[in-house]
Amino acid sequence: MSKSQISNQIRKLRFEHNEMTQQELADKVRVSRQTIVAIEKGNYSPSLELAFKIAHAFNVPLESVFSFDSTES
Amino acid sequence: MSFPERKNTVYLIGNIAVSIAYFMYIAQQYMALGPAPTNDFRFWGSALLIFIPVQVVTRVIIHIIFSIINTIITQEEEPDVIDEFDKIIESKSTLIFYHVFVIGFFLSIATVFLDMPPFVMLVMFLLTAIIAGIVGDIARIIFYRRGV
Repeated sequence: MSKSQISNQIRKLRFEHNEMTQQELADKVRVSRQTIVAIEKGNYSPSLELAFKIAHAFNVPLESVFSFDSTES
Repeated sequence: MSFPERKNTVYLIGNIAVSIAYFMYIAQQYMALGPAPTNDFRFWGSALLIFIPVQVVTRVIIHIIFSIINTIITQEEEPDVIDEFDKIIESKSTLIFYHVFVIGFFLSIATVFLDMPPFVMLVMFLLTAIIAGIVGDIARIIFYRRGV
């Protein structure tokens, strides 16, 4: 499985938000912790809806959480 | 190892163990029929039909036992959320299951074309069901581990 071209700042944002745990974030966006782990590691690209929910959970715009690396295509 | 990986690994081991035990039981029963049984189709038809509820019941029992033991050991409750990640993994592993099953199905039909006895085709049907189930379980574990 190749790594996604979508990278994210979830780890950093969690740290900046009072060291929010993966479980706390998972509960906020109503997914399992396993899903947050997979997204954080870049093993899974979330749906647009989930991406917005994550951004909303951190109170930041979507592009502050996810970025797309177009050079790899 | 995460909860879904643990759960699916236990399912896989259970699936392999039950399938081997069932196949050996059926083989024994078949040999007891004598060297040239006349009711091949009836025997293997019932073996295939019985295999489905056996698999379902086994999975339910394994799920209950796993949940109890996992809760005792890890103090972690089973997540009640089935999210998009779970759904996409389920969908992809089911697709792989179907692909393997279809290949096995056509190989089974090919044995008839090659003038092999019906016994071979029916055994291949049973093996196809077993192998497709195992491959589906393995795919699920790999997807949970490496992502989709």
